[in-house]
Amino acid sequence: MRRFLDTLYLLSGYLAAFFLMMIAVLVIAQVTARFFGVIFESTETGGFCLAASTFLGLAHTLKRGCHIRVSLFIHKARGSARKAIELWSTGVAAVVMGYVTWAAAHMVYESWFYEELSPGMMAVPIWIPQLGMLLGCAVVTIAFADEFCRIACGAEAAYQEQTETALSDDDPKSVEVAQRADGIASHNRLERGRAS
Amino acid sequence: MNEMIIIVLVLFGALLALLASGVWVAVTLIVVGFIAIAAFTPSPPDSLLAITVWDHSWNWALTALPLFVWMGEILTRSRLSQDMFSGLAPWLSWLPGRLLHVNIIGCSVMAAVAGSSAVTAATIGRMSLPELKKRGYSESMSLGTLAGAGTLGLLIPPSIMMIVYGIVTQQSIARLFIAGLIPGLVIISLFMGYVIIWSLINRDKMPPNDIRMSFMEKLWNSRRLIPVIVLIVLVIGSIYTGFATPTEAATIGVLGALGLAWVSRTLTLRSFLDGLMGAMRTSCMITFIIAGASFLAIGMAFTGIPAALAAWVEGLGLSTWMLLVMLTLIYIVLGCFLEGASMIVLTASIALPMIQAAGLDPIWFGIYLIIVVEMSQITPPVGFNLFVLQGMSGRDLMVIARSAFPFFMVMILGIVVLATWPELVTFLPDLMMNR
Repeated sequence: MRRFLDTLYLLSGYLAAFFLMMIAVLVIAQVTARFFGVIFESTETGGFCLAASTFLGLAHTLKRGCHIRVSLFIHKARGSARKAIELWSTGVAAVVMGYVTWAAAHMVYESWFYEELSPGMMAVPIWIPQLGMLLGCAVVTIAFADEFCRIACGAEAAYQEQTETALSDDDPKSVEVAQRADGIASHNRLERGRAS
Repeated sequence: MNEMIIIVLVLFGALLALLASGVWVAVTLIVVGFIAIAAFTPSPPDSLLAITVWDHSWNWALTALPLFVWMGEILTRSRLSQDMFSGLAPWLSWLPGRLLHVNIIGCSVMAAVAGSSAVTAATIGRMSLPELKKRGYSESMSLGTLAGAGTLGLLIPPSIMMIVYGIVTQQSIARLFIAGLIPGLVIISLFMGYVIIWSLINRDKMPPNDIRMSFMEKLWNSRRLIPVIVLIVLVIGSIYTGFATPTEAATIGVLGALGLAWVSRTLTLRSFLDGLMGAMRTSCMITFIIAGASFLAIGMAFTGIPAALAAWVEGLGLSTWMLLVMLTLIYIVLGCFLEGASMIVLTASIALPMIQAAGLDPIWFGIYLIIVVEMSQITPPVGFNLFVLQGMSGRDLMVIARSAFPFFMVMILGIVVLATWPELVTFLPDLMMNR
């Protein structure tokens, strides 16, 4: 079960990254097409890719502790008080995202039932891109419920692993990775410059 | 009116309680929007929720955001930060304040590629802090310049926060980017001016100039910086000339960044995937907040709070200056607890009607708001640049906050300058419009 859920979040995250890359690919395609005088409209599909990327990425982003919250008071709490706060926040989030999932499902069903088309030139049935929102919201609801259960069972929340930077406006990993990637090479250049 | 006060108290009470109890910002926004609609209007919240969130999440203008985040992710993973110190130091060592200026200029250049302040401060700081310490520069000035100039990541285009503001208030992102250029230069000059004055007063605390290089040696030392600067000019220039939309410019940026990483041999499949996933997480976090905020904004509009608040402030008959002083104080307090994107989405839809009633330009207000958000990055107890520098230097948060305080004051001076001469902000975008 644990393996299955973690794989689900990760796969959903990879899919989100794929859609992010597709935005750039579509723009390149559009510019190239314009260059050859072919009309190819990427504004609408680009927007759909963005929406898919946002919603499908939610669960993975949560697990990596990248969603923002005010941690000022949480950090002060210890022991059972801390556990209560974490149960409260994951519980609220699970209920709210469950509600959003339900509302999204309703929207997708209506779009499908009334055969609504997207407003742009592509005129695709709008329920297809909306499906990304539904799936992403469903997965993040599962992820919040999963965190709730883990904390209730006494485990450390997965999103806590980067507590201090969990609130940061940047992906904390990117800073770390960049720090690690840094070699010694750069120091030497200035030294050489001074010596000469 | 009484009813309105009750609505305001309930909604703001719920907002504060949820945020303080650690509920995620985006989730909080959805809950408060739900309360506003379900409790105070006859509309059904569920269909409104789905449609609003959906409509705002596939906004074409927003597609520039993940691409700019990605560009920054690729470049921070390349050798850029290593090259920054050695490339800039020889050029700046003659100024009073010497290598302290490397922090400021380095952060400005980094800001133009990374678009976010914590990454800017971190990437520049980990190279320059050890170098400055080794040469005996004042620690508080080293930390202060980094903390202050690190925040420029928000102001200098391409800036993620500007995209957020542009989306929330429906302003042109291209115009916001261009409007940020001169204010960015103003703040940089003010920072450098402060460092120059400080070092002229405190001559005894300044180490001697230890870099002697010929012009060609300097050029050779900074050879790796030149492609990056060309890329920045290309990205901003293509927006300014109207050659590319922000999204297209961001795509140019991504391709250029990939090219630079490939040339410097830091592009592997691993680093490519890491960068892409990192960009996805950061952009997912921000777009989730924007989606939540869109629902809250609809709820707020239904209750009529922003309009009532704007009318109330108008009724007070405050002068523009008084209004700005009041807003700045509110934002400084907010900034002590909230981070940038949340602060912008929470307040913009409420503050903008007020601002427009007072006759201020929305683009100008956007730049003002971003500078205030920058200031919030260096105010304790919650300020991300302080966290980053704390992690890097091992000093106490309050020590770093004290070093950053002069730069906080310099930014207030910057706001006064921009409020006195609003043309500094509006001049370039107006020029662009007339094309």
